[in-house]
Amino acid sequence: MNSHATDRRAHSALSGLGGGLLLLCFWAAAAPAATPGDISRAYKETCDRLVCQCGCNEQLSVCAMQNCSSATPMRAEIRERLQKGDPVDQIVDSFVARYGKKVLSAPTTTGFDLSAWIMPFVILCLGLVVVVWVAVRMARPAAEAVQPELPPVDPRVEEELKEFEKEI
Amino acid sequence: MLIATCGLLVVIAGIYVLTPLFKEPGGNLEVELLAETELDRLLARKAMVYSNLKDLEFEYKMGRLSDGDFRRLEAGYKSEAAKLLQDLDRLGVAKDLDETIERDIAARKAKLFPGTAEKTRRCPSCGAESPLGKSYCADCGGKL
Amino acid sequence: MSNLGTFCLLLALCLSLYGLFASLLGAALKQHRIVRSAERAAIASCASILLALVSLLYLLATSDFSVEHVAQSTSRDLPLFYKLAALWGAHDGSMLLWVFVTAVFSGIVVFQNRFRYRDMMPYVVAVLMFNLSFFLILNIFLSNPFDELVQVLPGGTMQKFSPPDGRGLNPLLQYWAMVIHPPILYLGFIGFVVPFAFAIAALITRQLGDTWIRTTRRWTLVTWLFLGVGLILGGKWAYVELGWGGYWGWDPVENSSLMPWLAGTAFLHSVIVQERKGMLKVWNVLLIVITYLLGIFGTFITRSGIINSVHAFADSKLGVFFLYYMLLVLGASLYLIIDRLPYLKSERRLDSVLSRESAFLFNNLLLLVACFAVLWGTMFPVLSNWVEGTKITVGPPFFNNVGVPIGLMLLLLTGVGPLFAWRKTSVESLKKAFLWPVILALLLCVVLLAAGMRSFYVLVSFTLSMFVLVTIVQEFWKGTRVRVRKTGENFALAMVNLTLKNKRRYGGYIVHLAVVLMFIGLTGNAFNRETSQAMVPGDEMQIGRYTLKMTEYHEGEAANYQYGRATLEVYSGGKLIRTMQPEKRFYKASEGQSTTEVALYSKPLEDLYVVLAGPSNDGKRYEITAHVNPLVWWVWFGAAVMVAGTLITLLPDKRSSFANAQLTIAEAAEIEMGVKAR
Repeated sequence: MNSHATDRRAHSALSGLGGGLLLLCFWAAAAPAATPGDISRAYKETCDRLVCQCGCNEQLSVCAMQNCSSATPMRAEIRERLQKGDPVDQIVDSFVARYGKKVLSAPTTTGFDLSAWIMPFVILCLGLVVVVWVAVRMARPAAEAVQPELPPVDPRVEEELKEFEKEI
Repeated sequence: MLIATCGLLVVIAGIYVLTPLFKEPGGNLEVELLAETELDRLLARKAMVYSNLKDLEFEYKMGRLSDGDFRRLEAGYKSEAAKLLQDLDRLGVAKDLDETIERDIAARKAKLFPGTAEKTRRCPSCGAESPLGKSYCADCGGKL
Repeated sequence: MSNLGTFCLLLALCLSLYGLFASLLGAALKQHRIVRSAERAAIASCASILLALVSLLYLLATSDFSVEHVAQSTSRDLPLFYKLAALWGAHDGSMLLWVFVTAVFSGIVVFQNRFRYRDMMPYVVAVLMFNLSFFLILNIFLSNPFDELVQVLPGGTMQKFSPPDGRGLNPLLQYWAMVIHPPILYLGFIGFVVPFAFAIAALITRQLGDTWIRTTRRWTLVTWLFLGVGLILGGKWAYVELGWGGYWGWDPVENSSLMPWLAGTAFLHSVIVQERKGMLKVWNVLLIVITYLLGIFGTFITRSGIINSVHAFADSKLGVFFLYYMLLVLGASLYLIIDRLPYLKSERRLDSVLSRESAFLFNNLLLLVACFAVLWGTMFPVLSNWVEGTKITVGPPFFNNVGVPIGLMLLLLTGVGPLFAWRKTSVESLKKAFLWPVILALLLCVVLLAAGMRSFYVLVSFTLSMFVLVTIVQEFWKGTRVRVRKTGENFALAMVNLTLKNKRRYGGYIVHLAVVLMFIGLTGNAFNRETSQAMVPGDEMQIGRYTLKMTEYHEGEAANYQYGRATLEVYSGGKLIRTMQPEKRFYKASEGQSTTEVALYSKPLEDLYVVLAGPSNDGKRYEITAHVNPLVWWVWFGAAVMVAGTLITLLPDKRSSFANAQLTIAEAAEIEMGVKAR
């Protein structure tokens, strides 16, 4: 009956924790609705996709240098063109035309660059095949050798086991 | 000044590093005596089998294993432990394991530090003699 | 003083080379006294490096600008604390710190095992000294912190000179977390050399049981902990000091410390299988070699300048040497592993695919794939330049897109793995074990969907977090219940005892719990918002539920920098909740380089993060950027839980009479030596 009480207590602790997390997530889910304006979101997206050319090698949204020779005019241009109504892709493309592919913050999905995206998952699949193969191969011989004759159990084992339990 | 300091450093380091070459006994005795032995390995494996057994029992009580699997696996581990015990017997481990280890250590120590292994220490509270290296008196349990 | 420093390093190099050859010679000739001498050389070399370190610290403290390192990385107006911390502010000094930590670790290993594992120790010492010698050579001949400044006179003659003031420590580094971040990270990078050395010694002496793993378990755990804490401190620093609102930028240098951490995590898991079951022997040796090499690779990336990075010590000429060293180590290790394959046979078979063992296999696979993805992304620009001849950038969008699915799979496995029993799990029990976690996780998912959440990854992440959380709570609960039944202890006491009697298992669960908490924090990223506005005192701006009202702008001067500081009152729901003062600093010594001091209002639910970006273009207003970053607090909290969990697994075990005789003889010998010394 003691364990029943503890069960209940643990249950309520569990549901308390779960409820807390639920609430947290509920709040988080409701949050983005408050984000105003499409321009600022598009602006953030564009800045994320481009790399500052001052040598810091960081995204436009990250480079924190004041009056950066590269980030400041790039940002100004992006803001201006977004206000004119240019789509994000077009703005990004025009920067690529000007600076080359290195202005993009991630590899493209064409040609050799595609391998950047695919390779980790290729390795994952290969690894899966290997692991499954190893697991199955390692598991098989045990199934064949069903229960070899076991030596008679030594009474000392039980004794020592009790002692072992006491010690730890 | 700089040269003198550097020279001093070299001399100190040299003496410190080279002393064992002249002071320590030759040969490889220490390695043989302080290395892991078959006994060590068997004991370590036995402890591991017991801890596996404990885990198995725990997992069974947590409801992870079916009765049949539990019995089969438990029997497997127990027979492994029995086999290890047989191996230990082969090494001359008599009924008392502690005693065997003590004997093993005493034998190794006698070879490592000739002359000192037989030494004993008098217990301050009861006066009984205990072998050196023990921290508690075997007679009265007082701290040595 | 600078000559003395160089001399000490040279002496240390001689000693470590002597240690390398003497230990091998002693083992080959079976003359143990030569090995003892080699061990003393290791300790002496550590002392010698300590002297070198102290002399460099002395030079830094006394601002001796005739030494290049001191002139490059400190200035007179720098507080003493930062003068000393400038030791690792440039690559030559940080290399000395690296060498010092390596030497100290080697010394500790030698001392700890002076009566233990005598047959393996010569090779352990040899590997440690080989590693130390390599870094010492680099430090002395290619990147010496004691180099003096020289001036070329018009006649072409060279002359020593000492500038009136130094160039100052990079202001970005003048922050507490940044000061302790590199040494802690170094402890984490370097520590893996110890299990590596024991693994190689085990291969050479053909003692491929679990001895080397048991011996180095604590080293591995502590190293892993330091690496993790180093990563977190780095993140904290980026968050508070760089002022862009995030804590992880997938910078090559950050990546290079993440990789050994991932591989080390895999190693920590897979050694359990070897200890318990005598399986995965080859894999574990291979894994520690990989982990060690990734640590070296991290330094290679940082110091070779092969990849552009804010953290990198630009353009030093060490790269090639690291490459050769890594190839040599890899080649030698692989040769040894292949040669010793017969000794690396598994002692047991896998009983069932539905077992803890195979869960560990998948865990290792995912961690290594994550590691590979990071490596691949980090090196891809080099590869692309090589194949196509075009420079490209691989930045956060890549790592986030590739990393998130792998990370989520790992999260799933964190919950699933522990539900499997060793050897064989019954399908029945799996159904039972999964029931509540799945129900509650799905419930959460439905609630989130109903609340209007549509972001796929966020949904998956929260659902999985819930799933793992419930499995962990369930584990503690079930285990405690079993113990309550057995011992009759009350619930709380039983839970504590359960944890303390199974430190590794339940400490591990606490670490898993920490992983979940951190995932919750990381997922918060998806909801980050930011706005910026040019303001004058009196203006207001709006972000989320906060209203920020600027009340004052103040300019002032501290010892080594000038600053501008905005004062903003933060209102929420019409109530004043906090006054925040973001700052912008201009450092006098570092050519006017500036830093942002973020004002932070951190709550479990969300951080309000305010940055003073500086005066606007017309100079009349001040650019304020405000971020609302939900759930970031959980990342730091999770990190603290992770430390606590790891510490629990590190608690010493009670000595048992089942301990092996070898440890007892080692102790007996220790006491004997002590008596002899007296």
